[in-house]
Amino acid sequence: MRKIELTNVNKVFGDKMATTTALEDINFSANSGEVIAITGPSGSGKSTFMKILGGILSATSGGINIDGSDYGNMNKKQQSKFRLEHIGFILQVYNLLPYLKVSDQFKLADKVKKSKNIGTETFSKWARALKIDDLMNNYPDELSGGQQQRVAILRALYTNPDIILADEPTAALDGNMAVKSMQMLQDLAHRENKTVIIITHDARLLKYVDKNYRIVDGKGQFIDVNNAELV
Amino acid sequence: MFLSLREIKKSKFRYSLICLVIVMIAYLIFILTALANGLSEANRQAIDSWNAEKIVLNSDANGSLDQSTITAQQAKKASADKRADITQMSANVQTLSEGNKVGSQVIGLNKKQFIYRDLKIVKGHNFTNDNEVVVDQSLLETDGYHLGEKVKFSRNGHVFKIVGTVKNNQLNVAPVIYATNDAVQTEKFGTDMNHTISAMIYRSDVKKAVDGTQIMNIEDFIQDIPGYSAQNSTFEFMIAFLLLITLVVISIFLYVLTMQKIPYFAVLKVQGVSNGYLAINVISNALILSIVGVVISGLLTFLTSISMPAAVPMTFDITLMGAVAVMVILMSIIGGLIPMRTVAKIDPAKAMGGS
Repeated sequence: MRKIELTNVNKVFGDKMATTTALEDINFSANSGEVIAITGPSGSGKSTFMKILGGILSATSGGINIDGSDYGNMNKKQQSKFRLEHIGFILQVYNLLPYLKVSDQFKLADKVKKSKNIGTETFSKWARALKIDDLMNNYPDELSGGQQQRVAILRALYTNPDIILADEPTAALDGNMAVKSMQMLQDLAHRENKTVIIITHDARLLKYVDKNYRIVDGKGQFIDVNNAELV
Repeated sequence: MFLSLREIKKSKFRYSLICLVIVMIAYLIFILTALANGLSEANRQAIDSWNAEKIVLNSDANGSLDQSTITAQQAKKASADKRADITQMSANVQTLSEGNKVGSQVIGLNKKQFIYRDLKIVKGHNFTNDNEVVVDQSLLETDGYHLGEKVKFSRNGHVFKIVGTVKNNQLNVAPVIYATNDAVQTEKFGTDMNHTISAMIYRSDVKKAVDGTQIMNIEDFIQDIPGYSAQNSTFEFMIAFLLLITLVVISIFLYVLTMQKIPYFAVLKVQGVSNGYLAINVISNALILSIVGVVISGLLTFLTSISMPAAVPMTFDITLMGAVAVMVILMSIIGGLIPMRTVAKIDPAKAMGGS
């Protein structure tokens, strides 16, 4: 089932005097149950692509359709509500509030989204898998970078989103934990029909994705998922 | 409230410092309010205790009781309905050995009229003849006089015996001493000027003034007490300015704290948390800080009130203090609204890396 569809999306920064084209005629689609890697060199437009996909940034032109909704034309408030209910974000930095204990990071999610979050049993299972079940009473500044990132992964999954957008989710993790986390996201996509889209520079992770969408100089295309050299 | 409480718990030192500033400002506001209230009451307590509506003074007195004389003829022509005649004299009360001189307001009363009848005696009894006086309790509590003591108002003056006390009875920030009109007139004018009073106090509406007199509302008369309005205005200005300082301090602190939290608020916005939720968080911070600050300063004010010497003219009125506390909290909430624009303008894209 088609979950996300971007049609002829362009993003131009700047004004009439000086413009920079960050994305050019992007056509992209993702189905439910798919894990898609977004790859490409630094400065190619991957983050811009992710921001537009998440409704954080508006496209200059083109259509963005998510789950049958004209997401690109929603106002900011509607997009914010949509994100809360349907999209889970895993960011590179600043994922956790420094003044909330790990357990409170999830309680906050319960405060802002009161229903359809994952159950206690699933939460405990994933917390054990990510090895953060013993860290619930710690503040973020008492955790290592890897531990913080694992908490952030579970925080993104906690609201039970249909779509997970992750920007270098495994960058701070050691090899073993990076693989475990990817396996978890892959399992989630395949078993629970979620759509997982990941920006990554880590070629080892490509074996856990179903498609590879490569962006170079603002232009994107699906390429062979086994072509690790292009990562 | 969820985020605010946890944020304050985590950053105890930072928020304690902010709270300390609020405590100090609120404490200063409470003390100034008590002082303003105390001084205001010390000017008017006696007049308030008379529960009167109008006062009739000499028309040349320009609203001053001290300058007013009403002759026996004028008094006779005036309405006698619910009226009490008073004779006022500013004098130093002193012991028979001419020691312990205290500036006081001596008020002569007619024993058949309402002010005398309604005097609330807290110790001893009301005066019954020209040789007895009833005094404000502060003369006993702070000036060392005692019940049964004999006093006089001048070197060769008549000797009076303190037979009773009344509470909260000051006029022009001086204790009031009540005696008979005849006794005060004799002290003030000598025997030749007998029956000349200072003013007529009414508990009814007086429509027509007798020639040479003026009718004033009691509140207007109080406002005309020398220095009374100026003193109140000064305190009101200081209190209003302190409330403004509370507003500015809270808004500056919350603005700086909000600026520091922009990256985290941006992440929350990425996650779909609404501006409203973040705004409530900032307002909650202001509310918690101001409530804690007001409660602590209230306790400090209470400790001050029980340790302050009676001579300091401070009156701690719970209702007034409550109103001031509400104003401080209200100012804090308004201060919390200042960073709202910053919160609303936080760009969630800042939470994500890349171009």
